[in-house]
Amino acid sequence: MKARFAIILCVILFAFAGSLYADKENSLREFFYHGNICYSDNNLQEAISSYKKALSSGYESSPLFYNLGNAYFKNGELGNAIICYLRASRITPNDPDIRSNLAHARSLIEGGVVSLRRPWFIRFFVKVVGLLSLNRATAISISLYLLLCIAVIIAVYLKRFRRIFTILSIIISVLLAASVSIFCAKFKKEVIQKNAIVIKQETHSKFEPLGNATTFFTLYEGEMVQVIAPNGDWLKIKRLDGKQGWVKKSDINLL
Amino acid sequence: MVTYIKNNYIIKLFFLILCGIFLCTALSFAFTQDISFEATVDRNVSVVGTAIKLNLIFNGIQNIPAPNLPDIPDFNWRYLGPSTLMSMVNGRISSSVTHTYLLIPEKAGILEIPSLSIAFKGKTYSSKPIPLEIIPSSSSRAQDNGQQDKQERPKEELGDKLFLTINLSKDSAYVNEKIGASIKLYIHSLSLRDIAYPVIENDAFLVDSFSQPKQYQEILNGLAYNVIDFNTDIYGLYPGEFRLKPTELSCSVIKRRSPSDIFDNFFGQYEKYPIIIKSIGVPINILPLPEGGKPKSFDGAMGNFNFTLQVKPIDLQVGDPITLTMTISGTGNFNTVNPPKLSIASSFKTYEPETRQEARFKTFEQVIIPRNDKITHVPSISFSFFNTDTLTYKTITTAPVPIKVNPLQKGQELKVFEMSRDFADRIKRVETLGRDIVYLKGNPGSIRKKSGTLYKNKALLIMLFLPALVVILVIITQARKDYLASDIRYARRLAAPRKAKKNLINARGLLKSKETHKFYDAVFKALQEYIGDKFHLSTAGITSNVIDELRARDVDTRILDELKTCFDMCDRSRYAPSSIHEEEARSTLKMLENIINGMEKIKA
Repeated sequence: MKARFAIILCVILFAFAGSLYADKENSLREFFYHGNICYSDNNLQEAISSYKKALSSGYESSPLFYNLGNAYFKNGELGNAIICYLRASRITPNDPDIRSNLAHARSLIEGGVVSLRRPWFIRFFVKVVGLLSLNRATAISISLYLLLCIAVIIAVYLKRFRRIFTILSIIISVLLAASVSIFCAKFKKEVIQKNAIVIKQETHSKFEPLGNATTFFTLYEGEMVQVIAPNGDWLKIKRLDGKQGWVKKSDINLL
Repeated sequence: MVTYIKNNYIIKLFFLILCGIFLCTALSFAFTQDISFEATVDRNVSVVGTAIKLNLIFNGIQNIPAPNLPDIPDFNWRYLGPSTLMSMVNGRISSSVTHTYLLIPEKAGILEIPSLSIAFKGKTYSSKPIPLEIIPSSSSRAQDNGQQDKQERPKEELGDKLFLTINLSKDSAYVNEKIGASIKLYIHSLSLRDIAYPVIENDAFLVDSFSQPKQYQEILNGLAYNVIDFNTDIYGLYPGEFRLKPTELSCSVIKRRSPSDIFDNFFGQYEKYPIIIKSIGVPINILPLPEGGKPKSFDGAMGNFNFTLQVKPIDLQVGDPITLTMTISGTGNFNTVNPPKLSIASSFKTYEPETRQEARFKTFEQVIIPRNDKITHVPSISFSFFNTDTLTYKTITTAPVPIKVNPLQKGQELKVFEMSRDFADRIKRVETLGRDIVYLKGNPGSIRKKSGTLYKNKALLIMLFLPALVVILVIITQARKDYLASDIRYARRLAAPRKAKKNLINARGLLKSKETHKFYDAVFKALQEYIGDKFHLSTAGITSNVIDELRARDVDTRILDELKTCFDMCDRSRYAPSSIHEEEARSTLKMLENIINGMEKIKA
């Protein structure tokens, strides 16, 4: 009797949780489609507001960030557009539309994108890292880890297949090491490093966190910087070429 | 010091000799040139009483004295002086002398400077007559024409000083026939800048690009003009009677500004006036090509051409490419020359020919590939054109070119490269692509919780330890198993208490069920197995005799006594089972337990 009651309670709880999830998902969909209609009517402000409401539901999706990015882009907010494209590409890094729009938006950054020439193997690794999302890298690492466990167990137990499964275990180990490296690189880039995008048309990076301090270099809308440390209304940032300076918090937006 | 002065003197002398030789050579060149004579005026429109400059130019000579002019009716004249000119252009030295006279007209009207004849060294040189328009003085003209004349004069003056003419090589031509067009810009006493190429706008004609313009001097109506001659070819596109629209040419006239203040004397004295000069329209008749005698292979070529064919290689294997170089040379409209058609049916694989066009010839390089070894020659190729000189159609046919096509060797396959039409089109097409963002996505795709990343799922991370634990356990178990299999003594010793415990339980059960005989069998078996496993002895051979061996291994005597008693009791049960009571059996079981516990404390 007790067991039956417990089962019924569990079913009710699951159904309730499911309906809550479905409600939020539906609300996201509604705002998403409404945003699309506003965008088509060239009502960009309303479209941006609608997409933002969709995001406030606590759920997110790559197309939602992508569409919001498009709305920002058409509204002339290059920095915010790049942030949205980058967020979308974190979820689906291989989407050609996102890549294309991101590349186009970046090409419009005044003065071009500051970049450093790296050795070919680092460029190759960065390219491979860029192909996978953090979730996919995690899933691949876990799958390889489970496969490795199974292969080791079989190699230990079944002496007849020990040789084959030992070789297989070594191969899986190498792949696992690679996928874990990718995961670590991705984790560092997306979680540990605090990257930000300049959202003001032009902002001055100064030597000190003071309004009257000397300007070291100028950053333009859409440029990516790495946030190192906060200090009141100022953030210490590092540009991709390694130059560091202080910018106002309001001039950049964290990814 | 003396040596230095001497050297310097020698160098100067050498330099003077060189200059002398150069001057002598130049003068000798000048004297050996042909002598020509021409007469020009600075303008051919003037007012009564206003002087006109008359220049008598002798080219190719500098030492001719000022000639005495004959009486020129209605003009007074005065000699002003000579001026000489010597120039060297592209290694050619030219010299000239100009004797200038002032001519003052005495009456208005259309007057003429007659042909002047000058005799020099037995030869007589004559100039052309120069017509002049002399208009009445300003006071009398004002009465006649009033203000109107003031407006017209500048136009007339510019009309004399700057104009554009167009001359066509023929006034009647066939469709696509080459018509030479010479557009001349005449400039007299004007400075021009930014001269553009002329523009001929007409839908019925195709205009070729202009060649490098020529520049020379020309005397026209007694005025010396600097002429810029632009040459091109035009082609009539449709039959009919047309009038070529006026040709336009844009340039800027540089004119001196009257100085308004002292600074204008130094700066900004000249102004640039952009103007467009137009020629007059030219009538031209474009005729259709005659239909009679038109050959089948005629493809619109117009001109007078020659056609040659070159075939390489002529000894080859099936599938190897042959290059046909078809050269069409001569004069005419090369734009109308298309590649001659090949009638080689299916025996060859053909590709699009590559075209190269120069001023005097057009070459088509066509690759063909023989498909079989039965081909013996490249068939004859015909090229037809309309000969614009003889106004007839002409066909040139090449002779068949013998070739040797060797069969493929064993194991070889015929491979003919095929370029897809689509790919070829793509190569040809060059597009300029626009750039913008890609449009919105139609659906929200896969929705996930914000920051719903896998690595944050604690349950998943904890679960990940389980497979690792299983692997560790499996490895340890297997390692132990392998070790036990390799050390039997250790394995038996390890198994001894477990087996003894099992046997004890069995014996206890038999005692409970009062099966005394079986009980003692079980006790005996338990002792045998335990002692055998514990001390790695043969189980079957263990009897009471084992006590001596155990004593040697320092087993406690109390345990050995109990062991002996146990073995004795087991023997009694076999030979006199009725003499054993239940109490004794219990005591035996107790002893067995003591023996096992006691022996467990001993290291084997």
